Amino acid sequence: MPEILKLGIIQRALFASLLVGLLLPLSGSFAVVRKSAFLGAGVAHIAFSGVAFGLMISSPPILWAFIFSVLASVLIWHGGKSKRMDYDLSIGILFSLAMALGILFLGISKKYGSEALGYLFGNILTTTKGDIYTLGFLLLLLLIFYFAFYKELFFMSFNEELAEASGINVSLFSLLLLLSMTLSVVASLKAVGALLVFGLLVMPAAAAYQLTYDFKKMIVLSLLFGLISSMGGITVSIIINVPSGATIVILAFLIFLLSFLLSRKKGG
Amino acid sequence: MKIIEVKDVSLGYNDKTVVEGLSFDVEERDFWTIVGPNGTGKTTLIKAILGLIKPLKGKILVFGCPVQRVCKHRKMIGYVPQMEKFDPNFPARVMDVVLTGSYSKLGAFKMPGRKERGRALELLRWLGMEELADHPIGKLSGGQQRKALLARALFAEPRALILDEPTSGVDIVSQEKLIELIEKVYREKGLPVLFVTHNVNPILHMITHAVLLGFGRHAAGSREILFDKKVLREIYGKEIEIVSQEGRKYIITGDYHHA
Repeated sequence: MPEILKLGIIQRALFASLLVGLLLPLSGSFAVVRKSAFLGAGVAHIAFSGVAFGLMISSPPILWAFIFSVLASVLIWHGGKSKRMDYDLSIGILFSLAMALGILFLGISKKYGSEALGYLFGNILTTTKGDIYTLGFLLLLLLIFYFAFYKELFFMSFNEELAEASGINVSLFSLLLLLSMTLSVVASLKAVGALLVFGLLVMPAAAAYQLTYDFKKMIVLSLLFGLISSMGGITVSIIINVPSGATIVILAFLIFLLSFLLSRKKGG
Repeated sequence: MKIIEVKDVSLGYNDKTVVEGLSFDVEERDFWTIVGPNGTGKTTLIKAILGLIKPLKGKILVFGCPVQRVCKHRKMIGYVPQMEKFDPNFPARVMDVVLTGSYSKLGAFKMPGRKERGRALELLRWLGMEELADHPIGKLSGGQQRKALLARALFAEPRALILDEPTSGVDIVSQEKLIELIEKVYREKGLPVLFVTHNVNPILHMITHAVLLGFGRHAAGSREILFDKKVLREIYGKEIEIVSQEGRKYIITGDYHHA
């Protein structure tokens, strides 16, 4: 085993990238087929304002990221359910407000600039054992959720009205899907960063979407692409000593590009 | 036996009433058509029967159970929704879509197995599209997509069938084939059917009853009301021509939706 792999910090980083590489594309697969991928970008930025708030009041930033993004998700879901606001509009408004609040909180606190930047750009090398347990637990939880309710989730992604007419509680499952994505994003924030988490959420799933008409295969491919992107990205970042979030997302993009070029799917 | 009971029902959205005080009963082997100009509440009525929206007033019972209450009635109604074509790249094949008809009978963690696939193939064969089982649903023509949805609706062996404009957006030749299939379902399976349409002429020979919805007016009863010029004028707000040709009557409403 190369010496560098014996370092605890590197082992934790590799473990974290493995878990994040599975967690985000899993949620991302549903976001892509439901055409609600922008939600991931919104939630990530809303979570960042929570981080800034936590830093301002010297409270655990991830806890506040979780509170802010769950509240925002419930608001977005409620807006969509009541048909008063569509998802994109709600996300756009909350996204901007969250960034403004994040900047305001950081401005008021006048401290922890580097820690805040860590959540914005991600630093997988700062992953603790606790972070890994959280990511692992969440991955297990979501795997159980997606497996148990695969039929309902697939059906409503295909056609909400038909699913509802068949007795599926579409509103409840939409909220659960939204919360599962929110949890994935918040848990991955420290490793990948608020600015880049969206890339790993969407790109592996978007690449898989290009290659198959079978939703189960799409999920498997998207997990595989997520794993290659995250593990490959972290390896490259260690070798050439650059930020890991960037290498992970660039690799995910290259996979997407290749899939897009190889895809036999055409528009219309 | 009464399958669906619509009792003095008013329907609408955001305090705007589109249907007021409508009553009719659907019984076994009935073929009901729901017709009327756009915006008069045809799809709203269907959605209320399916329990997707709540009536502003009145009661709807399906197999004696109020639709708003959680009961098994939803699983007893096969439904083909009104829809535009699917996303051509959506990752689902015809087989996947037909199998969604089995979902209501399977519990959590259980996926459709060999038995369900066999039944889905049998239905597709019956509808003449077995060879399309592995085709992406979004790549099929509008008519083939409706057939796949019909197979899906029939999967759970429903005791009534609701079809919301199944022929809209479908070319004339496919429309005829689709209607032949619907007739096959109606005659051979003996299911009561509710068929929403803008053009009753292709299904006139099957219709036993009709609901006519107009702006602030409605009529419901036996098929004869479809040929009542006074009723048609009230519903459409203009004279409606009824043409007889080779012993058959045709109603010319002029608001058909074609491909």
